[in-house]
Amino acid sequence: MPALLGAGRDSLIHQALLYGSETEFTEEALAFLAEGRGADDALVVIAPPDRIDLLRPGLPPECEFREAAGYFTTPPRSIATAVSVGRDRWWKDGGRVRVVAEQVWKGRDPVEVREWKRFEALVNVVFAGTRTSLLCAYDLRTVPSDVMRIVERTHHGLDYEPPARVYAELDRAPLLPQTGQVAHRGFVRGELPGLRDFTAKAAAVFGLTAAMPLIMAVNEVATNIIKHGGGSGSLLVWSDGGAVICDLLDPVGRVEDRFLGFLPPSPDQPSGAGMWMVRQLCDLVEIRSGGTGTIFRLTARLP
Amino acid sequence: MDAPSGPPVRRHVAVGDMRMGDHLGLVYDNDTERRSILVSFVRDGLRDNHKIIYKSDSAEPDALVEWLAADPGAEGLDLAQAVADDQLVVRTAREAYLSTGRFDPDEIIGLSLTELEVALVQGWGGVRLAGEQTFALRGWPGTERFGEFERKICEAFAALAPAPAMAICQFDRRWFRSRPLESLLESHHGLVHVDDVYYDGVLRITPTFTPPGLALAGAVEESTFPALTEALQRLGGETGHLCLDLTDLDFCDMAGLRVMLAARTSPDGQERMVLLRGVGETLAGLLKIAGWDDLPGLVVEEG
Repeated sequence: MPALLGAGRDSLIHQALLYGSETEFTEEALAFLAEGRGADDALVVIAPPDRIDLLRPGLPPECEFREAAGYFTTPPRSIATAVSVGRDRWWKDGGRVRVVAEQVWKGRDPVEVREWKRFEALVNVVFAGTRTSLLCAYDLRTVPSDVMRIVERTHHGLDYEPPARVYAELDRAPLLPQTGQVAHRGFVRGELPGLRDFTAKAAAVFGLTAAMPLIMAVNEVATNIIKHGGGSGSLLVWSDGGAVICDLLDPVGRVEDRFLGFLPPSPDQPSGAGMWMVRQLCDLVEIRSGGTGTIFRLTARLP
Repeated sequence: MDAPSGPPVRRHVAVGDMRMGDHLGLVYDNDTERRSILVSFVRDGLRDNHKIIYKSDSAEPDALVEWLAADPGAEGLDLAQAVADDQLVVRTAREAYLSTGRFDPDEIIGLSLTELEVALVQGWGGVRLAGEQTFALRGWPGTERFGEFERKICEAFAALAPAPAMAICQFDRRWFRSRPLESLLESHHGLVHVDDVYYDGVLRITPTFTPPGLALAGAVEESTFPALTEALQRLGGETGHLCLDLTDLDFCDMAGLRVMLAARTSPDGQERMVLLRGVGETLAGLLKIAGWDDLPGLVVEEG
């Protein structure tokens, strides 16, 4: 969708910097950030420490640096941080922000990689209409080819596709099967106090003691199923050894919202805030919805 | 060395839970709160076919009845009719206690017991007594025996067991000094407080008066959300700003949080402050994650 390019100060520009050497990275990133200095744009670099070291000498002191590992924790939390910092600083008083960002791909498991691919598509939805110029850097020597294929489909000026299409495609991957002992409990209207107790006990059995965020998330999804879905559902709690996983099944209800819970709630019109909160509270939320109902899978990593 | 003596353990009784034989203190510094308790006391008495005898030190009988009738809780009560039927009797403290020119506890208790017998003969199911004890501060002859009077009421109730009467003695905290007040309260079975507006085993909602609002205990969730919404609606025009005491709230879902924040607009469309008091760590975290912690009109007190 090249029409978005340069379509005015209120539009997102989301471009990719594909580089083959440190020199190439440094020159192109600095040139991109330098374009904003005349316009008084806020300058931000989110990257691994060695990339930050390459850029820092060429940038003014007011430039903001964030370490990639600390920033890219989960896609929903990264979105929340950007939205919050953006509202407070970057976009304040009509300003524009210029960001150079490099993701950490190494050491991520396949599910994490899939979610960070989703993030590439979501950026185009969440930050549409914000005064943001984003240059995402990819080291062609190390970034896997399946990631590069997504990069091409999610950045302006390449083979851009509608974000909903990329997002839906990522949901075609089946959820991993449940393993080990599975605790099960059904729920209907009026039974949430018991469901919260059940969640707390099951989470503790699997080793999660500080389970309040997970309990709140389970309660929120169960409430949605009772109020807006099929009216009753079931909860399955299990563990893959590294995390406690809660599957909430709605045998009837279907999720129509493509980006459910990824768009920040507005204070004036706060509906939809529930799933936003669920995504913030969990380390991973996976939703699969179809003719046979919906499954919400909430994951909380064990410490 | 003597063991340190803590404050005396007192029963705390909701006015709606009072039983025959109860002789309770009502310590107040807020007349709205006091009236709310008294109106519940009167309303329950009318419902149960009790005779209600009120001794007023603050107003003439007509004015006192008008003051009671103006309470929102008196809606639907015909107090004038109750006075006409001799079911509700209001006397000034001066005529009740000073008819012989001197405050004499034994004589007054003797008269009260006679009045009690007469009421039962007339067919009333019991007698409810309520008195404003500020008269004891007027320096009337004999009032130095006021402490003895309170003690002897307790003894008289005990001698009658099962007593066909219950009593509320009102103490204005602004005028009774704390040490004499403490010893006066020792001659009572406990303290009376306002009725809950809602309790279902999951959530308790209790009105508060300084500052005006609601105290919530238990869980705000799918099953209790309608009750909270209704209680907030009812606080409509009565108060300016609104305090929600969440000290004993164990759980709150997003919908509950949302409806509390929405109370920043009163039912008649006025902007007002919502003070959230005793906000726990989890709830404070939710407010921050949602970006709702600095909404205009919202004050969050953690603790």
